[in-house]
This record gives sequence, C-alpha cells and structure tokens, in this order.
Amino acid sequence: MHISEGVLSAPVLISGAALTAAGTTIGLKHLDYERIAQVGILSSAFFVASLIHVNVGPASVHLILNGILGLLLGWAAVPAILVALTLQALFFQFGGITVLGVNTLIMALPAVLCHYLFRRLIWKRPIVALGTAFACGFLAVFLSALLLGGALYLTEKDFMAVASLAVAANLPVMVVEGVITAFCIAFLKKVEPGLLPGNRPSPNVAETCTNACEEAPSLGKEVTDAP
Amino acid sequence: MHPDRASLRGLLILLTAALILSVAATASSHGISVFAWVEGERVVVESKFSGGKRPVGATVRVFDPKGKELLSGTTDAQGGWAFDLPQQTALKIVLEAGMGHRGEWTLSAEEVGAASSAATVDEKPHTHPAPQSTDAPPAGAATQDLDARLQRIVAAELATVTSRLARLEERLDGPSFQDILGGLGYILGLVGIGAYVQSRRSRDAQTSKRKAP
Repeated sequence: MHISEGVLSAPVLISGAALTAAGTTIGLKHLDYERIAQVGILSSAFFVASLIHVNVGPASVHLILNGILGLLLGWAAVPAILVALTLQALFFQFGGITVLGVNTLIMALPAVLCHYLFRRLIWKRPIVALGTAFACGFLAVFLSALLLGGALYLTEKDFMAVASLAVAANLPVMVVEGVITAFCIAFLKKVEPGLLPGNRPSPNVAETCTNACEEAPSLGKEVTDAP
Repeated sequence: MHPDRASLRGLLILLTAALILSVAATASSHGISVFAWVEGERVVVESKFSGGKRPVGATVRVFDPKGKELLSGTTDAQGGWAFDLPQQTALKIVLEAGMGHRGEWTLSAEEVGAASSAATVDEKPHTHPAPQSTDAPPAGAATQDLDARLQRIVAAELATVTSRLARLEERLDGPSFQDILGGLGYILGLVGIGAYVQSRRSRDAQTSKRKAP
C-alpha cells in the first residue's frame, strides 16, 4: 500500500504533506505522554507489519495494522504511523520521502475514522465486540485502498480501475487484519482493558467515557478485574 | 499494574530478546571473511579479517554437502590457500583462525560444475591436430574455431562471477535484520525522549504547584 516515489503529481504530494502535517499536530496534542510507551509499541508493530506478506495471485500485499492502531490510539495514530513510515522509507526503501505525506494520510486517516466509529462498540457483548473489532480492521484497510485509488486518480488515472484493483488486491489483507484486530481486542479486554479507548478519560481532550462507562459495568468481571 | 508500566516492561523484554537474538545471529565484529572460487580444476580460497589484516597459518577445512570433511590445509602469508577440486559437488569451506575466529564460504554445485567444465573445454582443442595449410578457407575456419572456443571458455568463467554477483545482490535485496533493529531503535529513542519530556513537564508542574500558595 506504499506509493513509490515519482508516481504522484506535485499538487497531490503537497496537499498530502500539508494534511499530514495538520493531522500530526492534532495527533501530538492528543498524545497522552503517560502512555507514550504504548504508542511506541504500536508504532513498532506497524513498522514491522509491512514485512509480513500475504500472497495474492501474482502480486503480493502486506499487512498494515492501521485498524488496531487507530482503535487504540485515536489521533495519536497519525504521528505513530508517520514515524513508522519514515523509518520504513529510510531503512527498507518502502515508499519514499516526497510521498511520505500522502502515504501517511492513506493509512492514518482511516485509522482515526475507525477509532471514532468503533470505540464505543467494543465495550458491548463479546460477540458484538468481536464483530466490531473485525469490522474495524477490515474497514481501515478498505478505506486505505479507496484513498490509494483517490490519490492515483488525482494524478490522472482512472479512479474506478485503480480503486477496484487496490480493493481487490487487498481483500485478503482486509480479512486477515479483521481477524487480527478481533483477536487483539478480545485479548486486551481480558488482560489490560485500560489500554482500550473509552475506559479512562484522556487528560488533554474531553474524551471522557459517557455511555461507554454506563455500559462497561455490565461486562462485570472483565472491567472490575482491571489493575 | 499501571497500564503504561506494563507496556513498558513488555517493550523492554521484547527488546532484550531481540538484542540477544541479534547478537547470536549476526555477530561479525572483528570477523573473518572468506571467499572461494573455482579456477579450472583448482579452488582458490582467500580470507581476511574485517579491517584488512590477513590470517596467516589459519586452518582451512573443506566439507562436502553431507558434512564429511574432505581435506584441510593452512593459509599462507596472504591468507590464501588453493587446492585441487576433490569432487564435483557443492563444497563448504570453513576457516578457523584461533581465539574463536571462524568464517565460512559455500561453493554451490553450479559454480563448481561451470568452472570445471571451462577447464575441460580448454583442454579439448589440444587433442585436435592443428591445421598446417596456409589456404584461406582452412585459416578462416581455424579463427572461427578459435573464436568459438574462446567464447565457450569466457562464458564458463563468467558463470562463476555471475553466480557470485547474484548471491551478493540477493543479500542486498530486501530489509535485513539490522535494518529492522535500527528502525525499532529509533522508535524506542523517540519513546524515551517523549517520556523525558513528560517527566520534565510533570516535575515543573509539581514545583509550580508547590510554589503557588
């Protein structure tokens, strides 16, 4: 899902860079420095995830993990993904420096979106939570594929063709990521629910849990056992 | 346990494990590099320490693909050694220079086969009777024959160089373990800086709270 250097036109690159800069600023404001180790771990996971390839016919696509990053970090996913993509560009030559802004936007924007869509739903009944987590992982990759098509379309390629190709090629990734996200969220709910969104108020932004807090006690054992 | 301390501990454990594994996998500080290639029926081995010095009098042993030792020798003053090809299979050449310094090089079966076939190509023309006539057609035929032989010899010799280049390119292709560790190290560094900034902030907040009545 990394676009390489020299593919996109200058206006697309510049606007991508500008939007990513804005997103990073917001993300740094939302970044809870008390939890910076968690951000670092997730950023490392994202960094390494691109090395895990899923073969699809002649092409091969790689894992992205932006679903779980978005769900757990929210806006802080933008700087986390930016850092990981920069290091990938420098160390692995994945993507490039000029195209860094667009690549970050493609992967981080769906992450943030999925955070706000799904952060309350994961506190419902286990079955619903599992389905929500799967949908989060799936949707994040799907939206990334659409944004990829959009970026290429704005550089005078046919949107429908590119977008449908990107979506089709990444379908296995969507499924795999949905499964991974579902397992991760289920595991975290049992072991460390404090890491999940909505469980504790963020000191920087009024993300205090409202209806989530009212529903959480109904989960009984899982929440009250949190350290 | 506070969620951040738990994740920090997990991160530290993961990193320590990665560091230990990396030392085991890639340790080559003050290492020995060994190169070997086939020249006709001889195998030439060259070696040097990282830094340029040559291992003198180091033991070199040659193994077949099954691990059976075929022959051994010692390096000369330039860290080199040469031996006759014992058999037409892949060979593993292991060099030990004492004090735990060890290096190895594997010659693939293709390299061994290709280069030694160049030698047989080279030897064949000697058995043909050389044409003595000075007429144009036989002389033309002789040069054509020479060209063809030269081409075959060059191609066979180049085969070893090309296969070594291919192996070198393979190593450069794709992210190496060191690259992954490097990237993770930078992320860890950023986490550390962020944690330091946070500790300074909270310390300043505490001192300002104490100052305020």
